Amino acid sequence: MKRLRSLFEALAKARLLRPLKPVIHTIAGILLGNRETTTEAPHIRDHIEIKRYMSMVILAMAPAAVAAVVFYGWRAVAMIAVSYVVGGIVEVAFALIRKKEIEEGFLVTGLIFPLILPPTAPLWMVAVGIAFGVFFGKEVFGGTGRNIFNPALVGRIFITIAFPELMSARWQKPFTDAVTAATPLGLFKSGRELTPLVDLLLGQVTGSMGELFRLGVIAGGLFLILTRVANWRVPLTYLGSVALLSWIGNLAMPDLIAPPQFQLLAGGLLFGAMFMATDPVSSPSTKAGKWIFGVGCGIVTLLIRHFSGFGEGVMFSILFMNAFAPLIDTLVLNVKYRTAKV
Amino acid sequence: MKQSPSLKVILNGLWKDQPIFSMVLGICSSLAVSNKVENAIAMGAGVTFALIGTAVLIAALRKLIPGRVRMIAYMIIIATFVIVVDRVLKAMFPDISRAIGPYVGLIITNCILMGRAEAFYVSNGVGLSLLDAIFNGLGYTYTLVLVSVIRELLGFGTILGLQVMPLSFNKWVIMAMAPGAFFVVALFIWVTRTLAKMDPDKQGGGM
Amino acid sequence: MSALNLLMIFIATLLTSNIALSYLLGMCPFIALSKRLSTATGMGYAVIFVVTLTAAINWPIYHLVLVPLKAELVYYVVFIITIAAVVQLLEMLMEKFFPALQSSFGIFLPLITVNCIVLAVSLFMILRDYNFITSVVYAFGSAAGWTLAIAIMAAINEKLALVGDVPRGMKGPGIVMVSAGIIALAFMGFSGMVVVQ
Repeated sequence: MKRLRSLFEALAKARLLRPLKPVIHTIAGILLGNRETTTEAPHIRDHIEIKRYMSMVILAMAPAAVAAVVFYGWRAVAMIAVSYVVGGIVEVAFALIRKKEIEEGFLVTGLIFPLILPPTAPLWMVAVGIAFGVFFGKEVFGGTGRNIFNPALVGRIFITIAFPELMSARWQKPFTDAVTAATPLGLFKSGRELTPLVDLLLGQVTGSMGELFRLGVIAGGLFLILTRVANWRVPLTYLGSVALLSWIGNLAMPDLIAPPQFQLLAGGLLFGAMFMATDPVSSPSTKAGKWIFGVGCGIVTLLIRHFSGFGEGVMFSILFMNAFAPLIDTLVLNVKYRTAKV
Repeated sequence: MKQSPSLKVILNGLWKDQPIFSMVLGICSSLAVSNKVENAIAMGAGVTFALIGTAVLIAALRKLIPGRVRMIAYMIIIATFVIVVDRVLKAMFPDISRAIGPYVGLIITNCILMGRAEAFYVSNGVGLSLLDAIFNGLGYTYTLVLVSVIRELLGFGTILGLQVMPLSFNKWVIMAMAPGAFFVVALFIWVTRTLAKMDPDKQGGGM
Repeated sequence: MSALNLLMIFIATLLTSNIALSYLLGMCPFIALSKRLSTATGMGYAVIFVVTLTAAINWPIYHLVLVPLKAELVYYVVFIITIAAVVQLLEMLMEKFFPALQSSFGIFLPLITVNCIVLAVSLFMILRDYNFITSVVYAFGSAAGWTLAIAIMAAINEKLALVGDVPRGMKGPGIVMVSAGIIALAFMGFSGMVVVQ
């Protein structure tokens, strides 16, 4: 072990290999584990190492990811592989050019991204999306822990708007080859049809790959909350505001707004609330800010679901609130300390 | 090596003071009308014409315009030339005029015109000002065209309306919309600033 | 125009037809003044005030003076003179009667003349044939939407100054463009919700 470490250190020092230094460090880090703990953002409350944090998130997403592979077979594997390879290339290229360490942050992004895609998405589009997300969503801001927006969402929304036909109108039910244009949310919009809740829970409906097996998503989310990797405030306020507002809306306009139990289970709400809205880097860091963030996500989700041209609003709502997160934090701190006025 | 004043003016217009990306002036129009190459060329030509007219007139009248009202005087001069551009475009290229119509009027507030007037034409002779105007106009136009080539190619699969990409190409609809403009211009700013090794803090964004 | 229509126009100018994020206007000050939140909001309030006021003045000038005189052709010139005059007047009034306000947002007034959204709003209201009330609501909404956008941007820039590590050439205008692009992506989620011409 020791000998191996010194071998890597010697490699890293060799003049010839200097441009590849970050790569060597990373390989050594993954094989041998880091000796130093991180000193830079994101600072996790109980000082668990960023790498451990990342692996907890990946572990929590495992049921959803495994379900995607079971549902869609090799296609899902290929999409995840493309996402990791292309995202990894962008990450490594930046690390080499800017002479920095390679950060493991993209291990999470690279997995979330294929999971929020429709299973019919062509592989070249997976590559375009993840490259765009990692490049513009993360690297230009300075890399892991410094990004303002969730990189996976930046990539997803970019290709959603760039390729509307391929991204929003071609859905495939698990274990079948039939491609339809309808999702459970779309069926409600067009014909007031409520998909049975059991089908939603087990994922036997159309939708993005990772959001389908909702039992697994819930289990993973609870795991993150119970291990304190994710803060409970955002998922609670997000899901709570969706439930409350759709309950009121359904009483007032039953033809327009679906009942809360359906709203909570349909679409990407659970996946988004558990794994993307909870991202500590792109959501507010103040407690009151988290409450505002969660409620804002809930309101925007319902507005987009029922009043806009898009079928699902979860991803837009989280990206929208990501943009507001720094402003929310500043305003909360200003109110708290009454220092600068805005 | 000592450069002659006119060579310096030309170089500054085309690269060093390069209007859009180095000084971040006139960025509104560079974003809004760069979705198609023809719009970009029309806008570039319009700005160049207005710039030339303004330069000549201001340089000629520079000793007559009282300092206190010079801003408003510049604006009236610029607005007059912009009206000409608007009319010519409407009469000769009605399609383009319909596409970029409102943005033509906004040439008046295009910071390049006010910026060059205040920085150069008010203190230089007609000849040098004319040269400055021509090359600043050209610099503005070529950067605008570069951006629009990327946006039209990806957004419509065409360049100047001619099909370039294969018909099976999936159009990047987003490139024709606002976010596409932001991302392409951001890349251009990055590339030019990195190549020019510009100090970001000193020259970060002018008005 | 019903009250609901006016509300729709207001919401649209804030979100789907945001003058900065979807019409790409007012970008020079958006880049230059978004480094600090207090500067951004100061400029924003001044813009809201001037844009609404100039629209309310330019509308009657165009419809009650220029159209009867058949002098629509020169409305560019007339509008910018109005704008410059309003800004000058405000500055003088403020200095004289509200010195406290002058120090907080009066310093932004001279900069407004070069903010293209002031002229843009007046031009758009004529082009779209809005009536007077609609024009004023549209002007107020557009300016408020611009202020919202620059406030978001300034808060992002303040956070980036603390935690960000932006590549050299991307600092300043570059990262502002990238952020604005992503914010514009997020705002597009509302498209189809409210339609304004």
